[in-house]
Amino acid sequence: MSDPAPAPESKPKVKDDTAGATEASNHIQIHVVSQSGDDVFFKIKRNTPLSKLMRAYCSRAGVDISAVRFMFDGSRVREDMTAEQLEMEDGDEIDVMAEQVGGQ
Amino acid sequence: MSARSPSSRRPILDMLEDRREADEFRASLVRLPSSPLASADAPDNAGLDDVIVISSDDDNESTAPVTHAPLREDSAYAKAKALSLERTRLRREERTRLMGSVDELEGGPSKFVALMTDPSQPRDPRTPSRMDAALETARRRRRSSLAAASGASSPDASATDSWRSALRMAEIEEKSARARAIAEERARLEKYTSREIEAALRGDDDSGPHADALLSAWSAKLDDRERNMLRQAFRAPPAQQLACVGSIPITGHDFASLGPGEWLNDEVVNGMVVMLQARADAEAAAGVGPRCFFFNSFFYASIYELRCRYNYRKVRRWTKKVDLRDIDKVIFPVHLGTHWTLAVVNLRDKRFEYYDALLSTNHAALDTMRRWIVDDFADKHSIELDVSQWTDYVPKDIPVQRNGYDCGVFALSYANFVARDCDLVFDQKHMPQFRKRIALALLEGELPM
Repeated sequence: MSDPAPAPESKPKVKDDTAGATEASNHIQIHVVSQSGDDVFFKIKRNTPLSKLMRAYCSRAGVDISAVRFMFDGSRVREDMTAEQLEMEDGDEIDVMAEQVGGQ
Repeated sequence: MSARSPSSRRPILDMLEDRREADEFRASLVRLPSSPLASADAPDNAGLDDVIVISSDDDNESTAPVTHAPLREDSAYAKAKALSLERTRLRREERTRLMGSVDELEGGPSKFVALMTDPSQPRDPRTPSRMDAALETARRRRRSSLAAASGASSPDASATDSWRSALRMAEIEEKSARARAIAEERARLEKYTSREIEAALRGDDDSGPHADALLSAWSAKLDDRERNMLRQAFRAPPAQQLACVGSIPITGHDFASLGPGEWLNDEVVNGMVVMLQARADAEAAAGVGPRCFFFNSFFYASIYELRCRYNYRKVRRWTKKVDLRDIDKVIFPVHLGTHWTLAVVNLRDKRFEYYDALLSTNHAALDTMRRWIVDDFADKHSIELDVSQWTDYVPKDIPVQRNGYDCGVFALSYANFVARDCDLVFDQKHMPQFRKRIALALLEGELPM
């Protein structure tokens, strides 16, 4: 009687408190908008490195990741950054820009 | 884009217009005593073959640790900021001293005299000793008259009277001498301050020598360590990350765009923007230099260039972390297909500036700036900004490019000097050295000045 009691009691409690709440808010939807205006949606966890999103976008769009820059509100998005760090919210946009070269 | 291999550098080098410059540069990269390459085959004519050898050498090199390319991210920013802070601290001290003497002036003569005669105060070496001399003369007279009076000390009432009047005369004389001296000194200081204090307040203490200092720091010759560092970086394979400035990774491919005759790419331009922002922040925090806010090269692309249509919504959130009411200059590189220029919204002088090394006037850019600043003030601060009296400033007497590849370096140099309120004292001949300095700055995360 005393054996199983503590285990089930503590385990579900932890799950109940966090699981329901975070499962919903932990995932956010991000629009990745190309220069031509194409809009691709991604669902990503707030604390997942954005490299996942970036690589997924590049393979889908068929571009090399080194040839494009991901920008969020004017700041460069680094691969190791997360949506949380950048204070992204559900529905926010990331712009994809192509390399710029100029000389003349 | 994915097809960029080491050998892709060959056609680019083939296109070099300025062969002499290119050879010189290549020689500086290849012919170093420490280079096994240089000792193995160091022909007199460092031709293109040398460069190909370098590229094929990359594979051996890539396994070796690259000592100069740690992944500094925010540390580059912090370092640049700390350096600039230290550099500007001195300038601030100077200014504080200047301001102090003005405050003393405003405090009135008595306070001023206390300042001028207080031996504990550090004396301005430029202060003339005229006032001291005048005071000394008055004191001497007073002493002598006192001595005369006491020498003729007699119980006689008239003698006492003359002694008293002599004393009073001496006192009056001393006071008037002092007043004259103060008036003179005040006039002198006022003339001196109205020019210099104003400049110090604006941060451009006499833009001539200031600009010269900036120019000499940026065109200084590289020492052996720096040359070696550059040589290694230019040999890196295109995919290798050499540095990280802010959150911008600088790869071998980006770095190659700084080679002689190459067109600069956005990573290099925006890496410099990050470092110029760090310098401007540090200087503004120290109270010197204009308060600048930089956008990267994608600002203009987003707000106008990509669609050829003004679109404020795309950049509405770009200013979420800055209050433009506290900013003197908004500076951003402008990319036009194959050309780099520089745009500045000068909030302090109420004008829209545009610097193009080919001297074109970009009416779209000027119009975009005009609309953007109004929209942004309305959006962020609910302020209806009236820019009808603001002027367009597109100077035609600026340094210009004399070739088909240096516009990026020019645009960055305009930014470098404009952000410090400096005259544009450089020209085409400085560009090769500026390229190397920019390359080094990106590697080291630190501007020459």
